[in-house]
Amino acid sequence: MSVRHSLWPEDIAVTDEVAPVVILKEQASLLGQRTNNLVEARVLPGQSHYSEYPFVYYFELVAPALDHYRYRLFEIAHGVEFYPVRIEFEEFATPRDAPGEDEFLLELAAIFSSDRTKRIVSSLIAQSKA
Amino acid sequence: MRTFLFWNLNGKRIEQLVANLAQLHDVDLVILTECAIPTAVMLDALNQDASPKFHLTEGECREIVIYTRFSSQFLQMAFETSRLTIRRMRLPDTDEILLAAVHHPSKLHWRDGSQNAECHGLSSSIRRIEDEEGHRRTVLVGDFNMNPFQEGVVAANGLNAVMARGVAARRKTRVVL
Repeated sequence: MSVRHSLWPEDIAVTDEVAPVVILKEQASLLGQRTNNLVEARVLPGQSHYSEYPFVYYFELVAPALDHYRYRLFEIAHGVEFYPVRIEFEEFATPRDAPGEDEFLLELAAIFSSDRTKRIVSSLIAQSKA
Repeated sequence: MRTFLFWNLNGKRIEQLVANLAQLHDVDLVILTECAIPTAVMLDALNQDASPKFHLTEGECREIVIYTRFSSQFLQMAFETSRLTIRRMRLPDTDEILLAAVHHPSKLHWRDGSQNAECHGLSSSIRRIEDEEGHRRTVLVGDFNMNPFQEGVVAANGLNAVMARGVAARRKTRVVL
């Protein structure tokens, strides 16, 4: 059987969209710089709670000096399309859905600057220095 | 052998009952959830007649507090979320165990499907820590707010719970699909 020419468009693999997980990983990589690597962060794939949001990622704080203690700060979930992305954080009474990248960045900023996050990070730094 | 006490206090100020129970059973670790009792009050009650004395262990998990009668250096934090804490318990002259304590949301707030998924996640988290520690000696306690026969509790990819210690000790499982 002869090989037919490809029916796939040339631009099928071209995208300028940034996946939420890429944004998370960028932010995770920046935490260590702020804390002299006493507290770092990492992003891991997770388990989905919702059939409509099969892609789940956990954002975890890591304290290397405390035998690599980890605290799962929040998680995100989305479907095949990146948005809306669902965010579950312990300070949110219910999960929040960010309809686009801008809203997602605002929610991340709110999480990172929340009293709860700052308290955990400062506690881990203090214990790491002990 | 160490004795564990887990209790969901439901916000009640029953420190004397907790202390009496701990004393009666010579408890080594008191693990509490929904605990509204201030640390100083709880310690006062626990330490009325206790020797060695209880003290509070460090932890970032909001839902769980753990008091021990041994130094906190023997109960180190390994992994936590707001509802789960996994600690390495390394006591002298004994094999390390992992102590996992959890408080899942009630059925008022979570559907069965979400609870089942949470059990799968809990199982994965424990397995990940066990893999890192190189053993499977884990004690899991908690308030799951679930039926003991609910899918997430018994499923092979959940907590894979069985009815009796003897069944678990066989270490052989048969998954029926």
